Order: sequence, then structure tokens, then C-alpha cells
Amino acid sequence: MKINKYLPTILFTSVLLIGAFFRFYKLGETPTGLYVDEASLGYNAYSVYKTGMDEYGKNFPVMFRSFSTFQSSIYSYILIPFIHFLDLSIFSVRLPSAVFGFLSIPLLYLLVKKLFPSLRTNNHEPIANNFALITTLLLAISPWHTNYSRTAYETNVALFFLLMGSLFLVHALKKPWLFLLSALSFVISMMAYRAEIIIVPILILVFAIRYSGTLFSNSKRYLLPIFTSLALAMVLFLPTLKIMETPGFQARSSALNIFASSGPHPWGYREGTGLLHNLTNNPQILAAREFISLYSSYLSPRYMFSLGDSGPRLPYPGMGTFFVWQFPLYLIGLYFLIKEKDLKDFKYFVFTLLLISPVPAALTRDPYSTLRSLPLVISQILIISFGLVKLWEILPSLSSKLKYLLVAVLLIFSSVRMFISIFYFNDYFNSKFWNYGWELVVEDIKKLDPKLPVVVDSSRGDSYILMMFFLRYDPTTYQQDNFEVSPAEYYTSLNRSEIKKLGNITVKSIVWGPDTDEVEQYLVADYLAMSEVQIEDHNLTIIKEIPFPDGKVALRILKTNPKSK
Amino acid sequence: MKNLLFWTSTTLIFIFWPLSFILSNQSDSAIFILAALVLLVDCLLFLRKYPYHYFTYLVLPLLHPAYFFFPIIAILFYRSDIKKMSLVTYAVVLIFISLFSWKTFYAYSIFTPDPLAFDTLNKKISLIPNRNLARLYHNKTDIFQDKFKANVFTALDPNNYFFALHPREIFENQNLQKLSFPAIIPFLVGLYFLVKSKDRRWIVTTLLAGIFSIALINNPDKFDLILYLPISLICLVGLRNIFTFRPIYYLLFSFIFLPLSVMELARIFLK
Repeated sequence: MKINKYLPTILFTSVLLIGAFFRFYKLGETPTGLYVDEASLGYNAYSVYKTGMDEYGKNFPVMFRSFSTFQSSIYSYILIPFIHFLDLSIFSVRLPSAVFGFLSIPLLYLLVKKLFPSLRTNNHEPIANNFALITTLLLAISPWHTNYSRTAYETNVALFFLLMGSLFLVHALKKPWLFLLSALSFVISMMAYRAEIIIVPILILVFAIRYSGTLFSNSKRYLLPIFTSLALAMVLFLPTLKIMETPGFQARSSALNIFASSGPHPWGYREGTGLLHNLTNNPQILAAREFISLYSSYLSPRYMFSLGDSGPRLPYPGMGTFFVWQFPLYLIGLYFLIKEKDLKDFKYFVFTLLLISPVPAALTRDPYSTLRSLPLVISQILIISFGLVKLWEILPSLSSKLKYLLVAVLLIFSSVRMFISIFYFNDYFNSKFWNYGWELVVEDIKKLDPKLPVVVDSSRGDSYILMMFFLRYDPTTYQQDNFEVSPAEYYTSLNRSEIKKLGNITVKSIVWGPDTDEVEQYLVADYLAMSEVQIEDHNLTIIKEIPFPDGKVALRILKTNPKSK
Repeated sequence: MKNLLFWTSTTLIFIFWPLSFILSNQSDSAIFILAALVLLVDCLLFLRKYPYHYFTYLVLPLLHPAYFFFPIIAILFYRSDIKKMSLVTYAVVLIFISLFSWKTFYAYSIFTPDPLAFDTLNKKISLIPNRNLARLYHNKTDIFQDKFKANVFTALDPNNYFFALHPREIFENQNLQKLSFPAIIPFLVGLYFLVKSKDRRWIVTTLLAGIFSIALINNPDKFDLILYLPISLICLVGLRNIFTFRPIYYLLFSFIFLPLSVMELARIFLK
């Protein structure tokens, strides 16, 4: 009897522990290496912390310039206290994402508790009463959500605030002043990641339509809180709104937007002239066709349960975004949720999120971008959980113990599979996509002869940010020695400087001949830039080779020998 | 007017896939088209309540051994209706067919040795410190499981039928556009109303037997024409229902569907 009383608490604590384990265990070690976007978020936070300016010398930017695009500022500002206490490291940069990812689990529990009240009818089995617990458990072991919680991506923070805003929104019907907190959360969510700029307004609109009766019948009660909340949201969002028209803000979206008139032809364009070609190459129809194809891929089982994301850093080896056994539950959940007549609040939330979350992602050319469609993980997990509950109800012939055992076996099996994929396979197969080796290069550079200059090759990426990150290079010195854009043109000019000076280290594209044969210096380059044949031809000395976990050369430190040449 | 719109839409749905297929595979399309026709015959016999209609499935492995598992899977759905004697006859014929088609089926199947996949598997096993755990989670069945899973989900992907597998086309496939993309509307409506359709048993049986039998083939491209009839019939179920809605809905649907489908049809000629 006593165990039954405390069982939900014990199970909920266990779910939190599982979620925490997958998000925090070896956070600074795996994925091994650091992606340039993570380094940029981290170093700019470090720079603002130390100088009040980012790497380009801009005071507290609304959005951070990151190479030739712009990143949300929310993540970098959140990072500052973490850097203060933990210093700049891979662990400290990823920690906010892991914390928000972990906190999303209890937040989803509270939201589902509100939207899916337990004990709706007397004939429901205990599992239906613990629906919130099931959804949080599935989120805790979700490969998709775990992936973004273990890496520094703003989308994870945006999702947390989206859930928080939704929770306050549904509670605000009883306590209208919670609209204020909801507005605050939604604005942070929109500022944290661009996809939410499309998702949040539609979510609020659907909420307003759904509860229009309640809101209008008690308009006196709701009017002041709603208008105060809208005013607060406008004030907070105004700085972002002001820069939305700038070329900097639009750079990324216009390059990726399938409806943009510039750029490559839409998918399905046929070369040729004549009436038939003109008819079939109508750009609006082709773009709409491409949009629908991309949109439907986000709801397709092939992408969810088999392919996963096509990005090199995103799927864990051998895993989709969901586990295969969840596929029948997805179908069952979808079918019964469409048919369901009682759970209107729950249905509205799930279907709104399900249908609008792929929109921002489908507007871009990238196939099945789990990054841009992260809120979809919530709606799809809710559908899968609903499917599990319904399957539980329609399988009365099996004993409860057997059903529990079956679910437990599936969950344990899946968790261990994910554990193996994250901690044993991911680093081995994907380390080259995580810029593995730069941390070790920086350690070795410190041991080199300080009188000789070092040239770091940047022909295949922005390696300067990795150097600065791992060197914890003084931001003031960097800002003094380098110029890329004036603060006045921060959001408008997309010019880039190809050479970066970090003391005696120069980061640029290595020029064969002048850099390799004429000056005595150290060269740092990856395995593609400096092959064995080139090393021999230019009489370079290998000082150090840094291998990937699979043994292949990742990076090389070399020394030129101009005299002997 | 209503009838004209309905029949034009139906015609556009039913001619699209065969036409697209023939234009892309002119020389070797006969066997696959014959296989689809066999299912059409079976469908007509089923609708006429002919009790032994399922014997037509046995023609499929004779057309191409890669269809070997279709009659085995399909019969599972009808087993409750079949008399013992018929079942025995069916099994005997199937065993006889297997004698000369098994080898060819195996050559086409996911069970053929794949050295590259085997190397990756061995690497994965070596990365897991605990040998028992490694064997439990990553063993030889992984290779077949992964291929089977990939084939099943490709067959279940709406983008396979309406968007030529875009945005993740399969490199070695012809990535054929099988239906015009606006046909996804009647397809989804059809899926929803399928439970009320009188053909549902045949559609579901053929669809599942088709999906699982071609999932056992290494590259189900072209062989998936066997799904033409069930998929098109689901669209037809949807179309029938759309035309029972209020006139504004079917007129709006026709206004979108007809010109776009004609354009899509024109595109397959330009390929």
C-alpha cells in the first residue's frame, strides 16, 4: 500500500535521473571536439563577459554576428554566468543546453498534467492516469531531444521557453496575470531561435481561437493582463524587430528560403524552352511543390524512424529520431487522437504543434532538419504516448504484469542502445564533423618555439574561432589586432576578413610556396590540406600528428625548412 | 459536371504511375506491369466474391522470383476463410514454385552477403567493451534488419509516391514520381475513410503483402509497381468521399487538383 502511494514519485524521480544521465554524463567529452557554431557562441559570451563587446567590438549585440550569418544572443548571454563560474570550456558551453534540455522534462510533465487530466473516466487503466509520466519518460530517452541537449544549440533553449510559455498560457485562463509570464517566455523563445518567430504567433492565435468564448465572456477580467502582456512582448521584441530588415539578419534565411527568387532553381526544374517548359517550370508552383514535399517529410515514418537527420553531426549512428518500436504507436496514437472527442485542449495543443513545427524548417532547402523543427519532438512524443495508452486499452487479454514487462523491456533495450550509440559509436564515426583535435593542437602550439610564427590553415572552415576558444585568447587584444566590420555596419555589411591575427599565430588559407618554402615557421593544417606527398615535396617536418579516434590523421603540426630547400 | 470532374480526376490518378513507369523503363517494364495486372485480376475476382481468387497470387513468383514472398504473406490474411484442401493445394504449388525460384530470389534478396556492411558491423562490435552486450545489440541480423527496415519505411513514405522520394532520393534508384503531388489530398482522405470502404480488406491485404514482400528485396525499385493498385485505390476511396462533400469542397479540390495534375503529367513527358 505504501509503495503504491509513493510509486508515482519514485517513477518520476527515476525518469528525471534517466533524463539527467543522458544529458549530463560526459557532457564535455562526447561529442568529442567542438563545432564552430558552439565555439562562436562560447567565445562571444566570453568576450562580452570580459569586455562588454563581442569579437567584432560590438557592445551587447541584439544578435551575434557569427562568421557571415547571425546567431541568437540569448544563448550567449545565458552562457555568461556559466563562464564566470566554470571558465570557458566545452563543458561550460554545452551546460546551458543540457540544463534547459533536462528542465524541459519536468516542464512537459506539468504541461501534460494540465492538458491531459488523469482519471477522466472510471474505466481507464492506471497507465492512462500516468500519461504525463509516460510522455516525460519518452522525452527523457528521446534520441532527438538528447542530441540537442548534449550540444550547444539555441533551439533547445527556445523549446524550453516555448513549453514554459504554453504552460503559463493554459494556466492563465484561471489566473490571468500569468499571461505576463507567458508573454515573457514566448518572447525569449522567439529571440532564442528564429523558427519560433513563426511557431509562437500561430500557437497563440490557435489558443485565442480555441478559448475565444471564455476570453470574450470574461473580457473585463482578461483585458488588462492581455494588453499588458502584449505591450511587454512588443517592448522586449522591439530590438529584434528593428534588425529583422537588415541584410545581416536576412542573410541566412534568404540563402535557404525555397521561395526566394534568387539562388538555385527549385527542385523539379527542367532545363529547356517552349510553352510546355514554361508551364511546368512555374517558379511559384515548383516552390510550393518543394515546400509540401519537405513539409510532409517531417511527418513521414521514413524520416522519423529510419533516416533521421541528414546533417553529419545530428543523428547518432544507427538511430533515427525515434525508436522503431514507436512507429506502430505513432500510427495508433494519430488515429485515436483524430477520433478522440473528450480531450479537446490536448488535441488542439498536439495538432497545432504537429502541424506548425515543420513550417519554418520546410521553408528552407535542407531535408528533414531536426534543428529547425525541434518543437515537433514534443507533439510526436505526445502522439506516441497516446498510442501506447490506447494500445494498453485495446489489449485487455494480456495481463497488466505482462504489459508492464513488455514496455519495460522495450524501454531498457532502447536506452542501452542509445547509450552505446552516444558513448561508443558517435565519437568514432562522427568526430571529423565535430572538429576533433583542435583542443590538442592548442596544447601543442604552446610547447613550440615562441620565436617562430605559426600559420593555421583556414581553407576548410573557420578554425580561428576554435583557436581563440581553446587558447581563451584575450578578447581585448583580438579586437585591437583584427578588424572585420565597424560597429555601425555590424548588421548591414557582410564583408569578411580572410586573415586573423592571434599574437604570433596567423589564421588564413595556406599559400603553397610563399608559406611552405620561403619562411621558417610552423604550419597547422588538417589531413586534406597537407597530404604526405605535399609534405615530402615541400620538405616539411612533421612535428606532431593528431589522429581521429579511428586512427586516421585529423590535424598536423609541421615546420618549414626554407634553408635546406 | 460532378461526374465529369470525378472521372477526370480518377483517370489522372490511375494513368499517372503506369505512364511514368513505362516512359522511364521502356524495355523492361512488361514484367512489372504484368504483376500489377495480376493484382487487378485478383481484385476483380475478390469483388465478385470468387472464393479462390487468391490463387492468382501464385502467378507473381512465376513472373519474377523476387515476388516469391507475396503469396506467402498475402495468404496469411485470408487463412480464416480458406478451406484446408485449398490451403494444402496452395502450399504444394508454392513449394513447387520455390524449387526453381528460390535461388534467383536469394540473389535479389537482402540476405545476399554485403562485405561493406559486415565490416562496419565488426567495427561496431569491436567498439563495445562488453562482448555479450555487443553481441546482444549488434550482431549479424543487424545487416538484414537495417535493409528490411529501410525498405519498409521507404514503401511507407508518402514522399515516395507523391514527390519522387524528395528530399532524400535514393542514389541507385530511378526515384520515379508515381502520382501527381496534389493526389496526396485524396490519398490522406482515403486513408481516413478506408475503414468504411467495402474494398478495405483487399486494399490492406495487398498493400501489406506488397510492402513486406518487396522489403525483402535488396533494391525494391521497379518491383514496387506492385503497390500501384492498392495505393491508387486508396486515392479513389478519398476521391469518392471528397465528391460526397458539399459542392464547394469538391469544386475547390478540382480547381487545384486538375490543372496541377495535368502539369505534373506534362512533366513526366519532359523527363
